[in-house]
Amino acid sequence: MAIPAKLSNPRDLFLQLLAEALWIERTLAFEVLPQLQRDADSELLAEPLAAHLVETRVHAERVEQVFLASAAEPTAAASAALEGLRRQYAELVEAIVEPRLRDLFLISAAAKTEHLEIALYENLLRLAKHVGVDTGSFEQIVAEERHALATLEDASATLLPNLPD
Amino acid sequence: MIKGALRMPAENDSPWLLDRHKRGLQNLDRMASYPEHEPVDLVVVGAGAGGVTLAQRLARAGWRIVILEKGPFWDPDRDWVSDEKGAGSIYWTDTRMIGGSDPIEMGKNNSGVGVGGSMTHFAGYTPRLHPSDFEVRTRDGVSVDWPITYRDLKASFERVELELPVAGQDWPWGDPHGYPHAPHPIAGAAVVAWEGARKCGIEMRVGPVSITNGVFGNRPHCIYRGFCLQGCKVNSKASPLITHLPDAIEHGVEVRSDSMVTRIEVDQASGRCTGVTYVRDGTEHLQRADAIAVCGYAIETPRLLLNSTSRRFPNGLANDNDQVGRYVMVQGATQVAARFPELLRMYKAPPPEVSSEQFYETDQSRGFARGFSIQTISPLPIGWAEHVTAEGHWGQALREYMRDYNHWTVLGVLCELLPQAENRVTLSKLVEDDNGLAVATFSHSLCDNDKANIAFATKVVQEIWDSAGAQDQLKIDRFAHLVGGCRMGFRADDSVVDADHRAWGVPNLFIADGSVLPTQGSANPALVIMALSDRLAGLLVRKQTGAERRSWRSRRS
Repeated sequence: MAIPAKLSNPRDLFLQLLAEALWIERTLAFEVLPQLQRDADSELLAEPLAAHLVETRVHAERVEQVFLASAAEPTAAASAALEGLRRQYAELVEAIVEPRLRDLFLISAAAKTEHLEIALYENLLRLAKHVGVDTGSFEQIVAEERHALATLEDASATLLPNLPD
Repeated sequence: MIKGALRMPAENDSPWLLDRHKRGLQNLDRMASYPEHEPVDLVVVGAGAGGVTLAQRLARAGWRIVILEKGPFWDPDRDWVSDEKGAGSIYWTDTRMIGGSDPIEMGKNNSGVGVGGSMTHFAGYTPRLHPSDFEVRTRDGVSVDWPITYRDLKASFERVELELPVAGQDWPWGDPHGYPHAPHPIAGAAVVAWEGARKCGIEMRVGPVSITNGVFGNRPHCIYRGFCLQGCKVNSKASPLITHLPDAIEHGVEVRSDSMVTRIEVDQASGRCTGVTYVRDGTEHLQRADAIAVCGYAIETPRLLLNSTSRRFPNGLANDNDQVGRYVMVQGATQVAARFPELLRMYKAPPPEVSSEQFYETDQSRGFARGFSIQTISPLPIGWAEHVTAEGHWGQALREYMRDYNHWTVLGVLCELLPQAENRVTLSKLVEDDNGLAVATFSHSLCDNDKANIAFATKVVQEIWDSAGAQDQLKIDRFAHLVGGCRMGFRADDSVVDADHRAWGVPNLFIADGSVLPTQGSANPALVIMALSDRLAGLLVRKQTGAERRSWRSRRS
């Protein structure tokens, strides 16, 4: 609202994107994943969602560490992209009355989030080289997000043959 | 007839304990002094709207209370000046970190320091919340419902309005009500705003402001000097320093100013609070107490709880569910200034004159949930320069706008921004204060509903000025007030305190300030905070009589 700070160098952009990553991780851990856990019907999803919630909390801590490594205070800045995904999810999930169909939709929504995160962290990794900040832990985050995505795809493959006609 | 002197509060003698000819408190020589090693009944952290009101009520019921305040004990005659720059000491300007997509500037528009708290420098608007504010989730599907209703607070609103006292026209919005003092006369700046609003079909009313309109005990009628935001020099504008503290001191409350509470001590076995550690003159002290009320407002209350870690509460006191510091809210307070050919001299009156709550509740045709209020406000020259520079005027143009100051008047909005979990106070990982305590970091981002609300409200005000025949307009986007951070709720997993302000899991820890608000409405928070403290005091006096308080002590020992 106030006049936005002007971003004029790679470090400013890096910190801005880092703040977005922190907001995403914290929001996923505090609000989104617990919500998905409540919404999910299939046993197939319970364990991967719980595991990813634990990972996500660690991701938030890693992002905070990178803030500190950049000599900056960890702050979170809202991500319009995640907000949009959340709104879209909330609007449609209520309308889906068939539990298996809802789970499938939930998987697609979660997968979108994983893609968003992967893109963000890969950008941060590239930018970090210019800024001279060690973001080694982000490679592990990307690996974990990819793994979460693969788990979702597996669950989706299991669910698809059992859908109602 | 003596205006306003007809009804006086029954259980608060503060207006009579002041002096007609001097501003500072007159009964300080009679102030109690409690030993630190003996537990008092209650320690109150923070001498602002919440803390002083609570202490005054409980002191009348016989509680022995110590209030610890980080800032100084103000004497308006000695300390306050009619000067924007010189008044800087009444704002909390210690280091705080801010961040988020829409960071909030901290200081004069949201944080006070010293005995009297932020009300020493608030404009004076004291509207009530509406009944709808307590059931936002049920009505509008956003935010949360309060664990209490308007009905629980109505009697408290009325009591506090009489004590301040509030002056204004009969109020048609929310729960319609009247005010103890008649409306103040309004000046030229408000007349043009009112005229413009009338042409747009918007109703405005005079008040509600907690500024005397008539002699009130030994408090004089307002002299319309202006500079209310720099501290009232004549004891007309209400602040707990003059409305509640004189009576509190008379009933045995001790105030220790310049005392920064650094942590709340907890008995590891029982999980109960045993007292507070505070720093005064560079020395650490421990005040033992049977119960503790934290009243440090939306930033410092969460900060104190988060800094009070222990073996039993490793994530901070009352923070087992990661709720402390979350859902901090500010109000979107965009101001639009308008230029008129006649001289308006907006500084020549208290800044709050007329306001409207016509847009307070949700109207689905607007495309967003909840609403906003509209109020006159009068920036002094430095504030005015901020308006002008916000639109990019500089150099010669800035000088011309400054020369033209007397032709301008300003309307502001207060938009109800929604509570969001990530708008929160955390502890800084980089910066500590002089006492070695991590300072607060406040992240704030607007959601789409907030942005739509602010945009709509701004357009309404611009239309008012167009209708009033303004020759030129300037807009400044800003925020005001701070509430939330330790909200009250139905359950421990989504709130910090219960409906009785008692922290979940810590039975003798209470929070009584703006941080407990689950939603904020479009109302300035001062009256709401005082009313909540009034209600809490009533609950404590009725439920926890002497026997009950003795049992707290025996359980602790």
